[in-house]
Amino acid sequence: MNLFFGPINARLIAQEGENSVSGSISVDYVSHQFSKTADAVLVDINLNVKAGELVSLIGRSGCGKSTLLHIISGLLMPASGCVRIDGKTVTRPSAKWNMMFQKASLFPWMSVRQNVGLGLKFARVSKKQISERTDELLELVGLTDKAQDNIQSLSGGQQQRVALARSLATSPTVLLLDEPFSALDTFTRSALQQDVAAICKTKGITLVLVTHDIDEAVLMSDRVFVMDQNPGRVIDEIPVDLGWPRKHMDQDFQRIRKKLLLAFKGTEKTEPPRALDGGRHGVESSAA
Amino acid sequence: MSGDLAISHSAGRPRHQARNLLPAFVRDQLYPLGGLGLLFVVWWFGGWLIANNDDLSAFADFAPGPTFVALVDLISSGDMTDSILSSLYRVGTGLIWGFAIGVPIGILIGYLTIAMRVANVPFQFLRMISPLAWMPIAVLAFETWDSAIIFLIVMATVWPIMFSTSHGVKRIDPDWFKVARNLGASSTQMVRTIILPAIMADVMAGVRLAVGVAWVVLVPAEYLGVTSGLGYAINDARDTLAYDTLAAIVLIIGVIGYILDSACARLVNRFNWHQET
Repeated sequence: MNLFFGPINARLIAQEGENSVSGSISVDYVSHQFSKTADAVLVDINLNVKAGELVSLIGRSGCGKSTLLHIISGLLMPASGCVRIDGKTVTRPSAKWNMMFQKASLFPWMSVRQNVGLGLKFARVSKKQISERTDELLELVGLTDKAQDNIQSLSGGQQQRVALARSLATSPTVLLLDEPFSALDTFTRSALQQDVAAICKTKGITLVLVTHDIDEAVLMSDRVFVMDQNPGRVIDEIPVDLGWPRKHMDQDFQRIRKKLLLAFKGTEKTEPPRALDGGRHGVESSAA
Repeated sequence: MSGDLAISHSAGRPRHQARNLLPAFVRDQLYPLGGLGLLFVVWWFGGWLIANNDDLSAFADFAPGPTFVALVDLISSGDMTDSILSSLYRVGTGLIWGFAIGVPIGILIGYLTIAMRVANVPFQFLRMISPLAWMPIAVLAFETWDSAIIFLIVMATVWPIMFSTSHGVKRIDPDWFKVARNLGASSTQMVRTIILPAIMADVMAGVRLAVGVAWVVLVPAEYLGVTSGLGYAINDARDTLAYDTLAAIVLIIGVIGYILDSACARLVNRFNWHQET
């Protein structure tokens, strides 16, 4: 098993560091319910994410954070409101904004290589280019020696690395992560958290991470949106003004962690939902 | 009908130290050859009993000795070639139809819960009817005996293929669709790159079961009307009291059935991605 921290290849990232300026997301008045008679899952969600910014959505299970991520990805259409990526309304999934799930969901009849190159195959990229790009990404995630392996022989962490490589292969501007590390052991999780944050930072990929793990949110994001349930809504927004890479032991880390914990605790109360201020939780707002 | 019966078998290998002296391919065959030997002994003993019973001695030609003489005769004269070919043609055609009907319906009832709920009872009901029970209807409905027999084969093969396919579709991880759509798969790419490879092992397991049933159903189906095929040849041998030939044809039917099944097992393995535990 791959235990060393951060097998990312700095040289490769630097080579490719195209620091894209695209990948800004704006979520406008998104509300959702799964059927007309069902309770609302999400109510009037407004948020803006700058290109290349790393944000987290945290909240308890059932607050609709995963639903919101599916809506951003285009896998799910909101009942009302809209999502724009780089100013264009999202109407369907695209390989330019890629989602990673809790399960790696690799295709077991394909080798590691074939899994990584799949998005490019769908895009009808030439075999030679797919092969080169796959080599690059396998080196990036530290799995070059596993290229021909059956994915069922890989550990959970290695499978998520393959899924990460598969998501990155199509050079997405946005990476959407739906608790992709929650099924992994502590060491593997920690290594992947560092790597994904580093890759996104260096390549200028916008990251939206859904998690219920406060440490993960502080570790991986520039800004954290706190969500509450019944109905799902954003109740707070906390900037994480720490440098990279981040360490749990740092005082500043603990300070922000505490702040987030307080906001998170606020969601425990079962009082009726307070009125929304209608203001946008976005770049211009200045949460304390 | 469960498709994974065929999938999750593992090769039982003798692991005794002493046998390690023999080359691996010989060791692999020890138990199967032993079983075959046992079957032969039972056959030989039965033949010996019949030969030594005055009431039954007319049937002594069923014993291994006369059978193998007749078998060599049948093979060297080429008399059986036509019978074998027409039998294989009927099974093959029936199988193709069974596949063409069973796979799409299987995908449908595997994919749509409502289709499954509508179709389940009628299909389970139809499945339990012996294909041979359709014989009178088949004879009325089809102009030629050949088509009637092929219809019976279709009635035998369509169910295992259909139920295995739907089983395979149900085992598809819904996340695979999400991932594939997210990676930009078009509908045709979804079918070719995701759905077909995902269900192929189960479809082939269904084909394997179907081939087994079809081969079993074929012989009695050929008792009727047609003047070719292995079933006809058996009937003919009985009518002419050529019991050695009859036993030789039984042998041929068994061997071809075994070869067909092994070929299908290879196909199942070829498409199988389920990890053995």
